[in-house]
Amino acid sequence: MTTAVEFLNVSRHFGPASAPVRAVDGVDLSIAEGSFFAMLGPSGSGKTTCLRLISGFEKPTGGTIRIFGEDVSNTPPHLRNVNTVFQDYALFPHMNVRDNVAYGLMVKGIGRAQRHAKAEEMLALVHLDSHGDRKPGQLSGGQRQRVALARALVNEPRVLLLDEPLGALDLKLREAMQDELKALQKRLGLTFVFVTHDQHEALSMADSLAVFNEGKIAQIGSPQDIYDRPATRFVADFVGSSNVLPPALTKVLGGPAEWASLRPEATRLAATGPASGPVTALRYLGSGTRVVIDLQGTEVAALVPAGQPVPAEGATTAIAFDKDALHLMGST
Amino acid sequence: MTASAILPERGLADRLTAVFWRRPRLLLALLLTPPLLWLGVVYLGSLAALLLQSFYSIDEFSGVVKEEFTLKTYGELFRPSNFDILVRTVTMAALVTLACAVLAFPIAYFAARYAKGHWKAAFYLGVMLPLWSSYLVKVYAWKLILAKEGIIGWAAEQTHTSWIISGLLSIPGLEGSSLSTSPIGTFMVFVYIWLPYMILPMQAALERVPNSMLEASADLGATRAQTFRTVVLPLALPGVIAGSIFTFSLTLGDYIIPQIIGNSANFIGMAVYQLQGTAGNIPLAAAFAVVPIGIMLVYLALARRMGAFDAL
Ligand SMILES: Nc1ncnc2c1ncn2[C@@H]1O[C@H](COP(=O)(O)OP(=O)(O)OP(=O)(O)O)[C@@H](O)[C@H]1O
Ligand SMILES: [Mg+2]
Repeated sequence: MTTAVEFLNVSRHFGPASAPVRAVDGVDLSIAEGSFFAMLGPSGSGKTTCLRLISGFEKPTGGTIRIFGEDVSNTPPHLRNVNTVFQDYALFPHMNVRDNVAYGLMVKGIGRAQRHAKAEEMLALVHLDSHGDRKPGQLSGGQRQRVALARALVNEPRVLLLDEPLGALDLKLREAMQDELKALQKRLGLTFVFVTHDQHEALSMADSLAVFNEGKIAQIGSPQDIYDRPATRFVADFVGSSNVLPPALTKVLGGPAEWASLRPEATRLAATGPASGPVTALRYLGSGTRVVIDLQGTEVAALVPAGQPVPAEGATTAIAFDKDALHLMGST
Repeated sequence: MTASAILPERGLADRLTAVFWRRPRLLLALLLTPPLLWLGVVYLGSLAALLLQSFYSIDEFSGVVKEEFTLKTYGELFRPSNFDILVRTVTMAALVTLACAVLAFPIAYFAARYAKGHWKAAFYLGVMLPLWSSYLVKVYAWKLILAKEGIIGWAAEQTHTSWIISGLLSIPGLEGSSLSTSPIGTFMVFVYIWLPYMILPMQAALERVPNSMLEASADLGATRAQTFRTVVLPLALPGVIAGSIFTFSLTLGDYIIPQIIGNSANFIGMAVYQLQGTAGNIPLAAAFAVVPIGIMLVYLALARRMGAFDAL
């Protein structure tokens, strides 16, 4: 398997050397060709900067970036075989949709008839055939997003960068586009680097993902790795829905005195156990009920499958779980 | 106690706001009436009077204006001596506009794309400062700058490049004893005086081109030159056109600069000034004054045909 994009100790600092903003700080990563790679992290964690380092709109202040093995330190954006779907789409308002999509071919000097044919092909790919004559201003948000996608694909890039492409869409459209994007990526066999701050999106779409925190990668791995075995408290907190147990509680529950994570799905309610406490919240989820219990000052959620008895709010209950469901995260 | 669903009125302002809310068009009408009156009556009215005058003619013996419709006055514009004035003025205006556009673009581009904070303030100050001083003072200052003994002549002498100036001044049509008595001087001063009117609308237009659009172009493989031609220029074109309307029409109508700087050859503005004053030929003055209006209308129609306003 070839490596599409490789970061070797890459940094991008802004501002004066005395008090730099460490937008990207010593990042190592490697993205396999043909994979769907997601970058996940809170606002300001350096995701966009990482993407711009790949496309060439930012230069690293340290480290090396390789694209398909080639050091791209001195390669300007227009010579990189990488294309971007911008967060605000950045469609050219004075050109119609067809010319927007054909733009990458036009600047290469490909003739009108040929580039328009190819543009129509790309528009068909994103289900927008027959919209070629419209101006971007006459399209809906979802349609614009597809035009941006078609435009980025027309050059047949080896790597496609997407910066929160679904951020502006409503939930329903967003989910439809997630499926479409994923299917498209599989079909074309392209490498997608996808930035999002939505953990569900990242977990459901990516083959592998990196969680960013303050310019550094907190964890990199498959969605299962990240979800089931978060490396740090930050990852467990950010990816969410996992219980984060402080060392004292872990010890009470039968583990070593370390921070640990425990998935609600692996947690059952029990009549007795090493730790018990009152039920503080109940949330009905359809497939079951999420029961939050206060265990020694820490809120721990358990998932009670549909059809099983649910305790009342305020009732005291204990929890039980399989030993290997407890994931230790060290002392950090 | 429960709060009422309707808050009490506090005074006249509340009552007026309520009236305007109930009748939204009332506010619009109140706001628009004074400027429309001014525009409609005073402004367009005098324009109509001008147009009317240009269709009258003057009795060559008595010098009295004959108030009957004729195209004779317009015909007079095509007499060689008058037609020369038109050609000279339009050529000058076109060259000045072109030079202003070429000089203004990099400045406007820098201001719109890179200048932030203090630099932006410095840009506005630098562009507007010359507009705060008297037009006449600036023109006379230029007369001194361009004179044989002026700073340009002196600098040329010190650097042994006087031959460039004398070479320019020996080109047929541009002759003069110094830059200040040559059409080259007239051109330079026009460009100087009108440059801000090109920079500001250009900068405003470029400001509206988001950075991501330039990045998208580069991302898709365009070189800087291609991005400029296919993205920046079309999007900034309305601003360039707006600026060129200023520089073009201001040059077409000016009658002071060519009087003070240059070889005293007549321009439209000077002709109008002389015809309505000493010569008392109001119809011909009006006909001259209509020419710039006609040229501007043709220019706008062409710009529109070329799609200059598509991005608006
Ligand atoms: N041109 C710049 N100059 C100075 N600081 C910058 C610049 N670009 C980014 N930063 C800083 O770098 C940090 C990372 O920014 P970045 O845009 O990569 O975050 P992000 O993860 O994409 O966030 P979001 O989810 O909000 O888009 C932020 O603190 C930001 O303020
Ligand atoms: Mg971002």
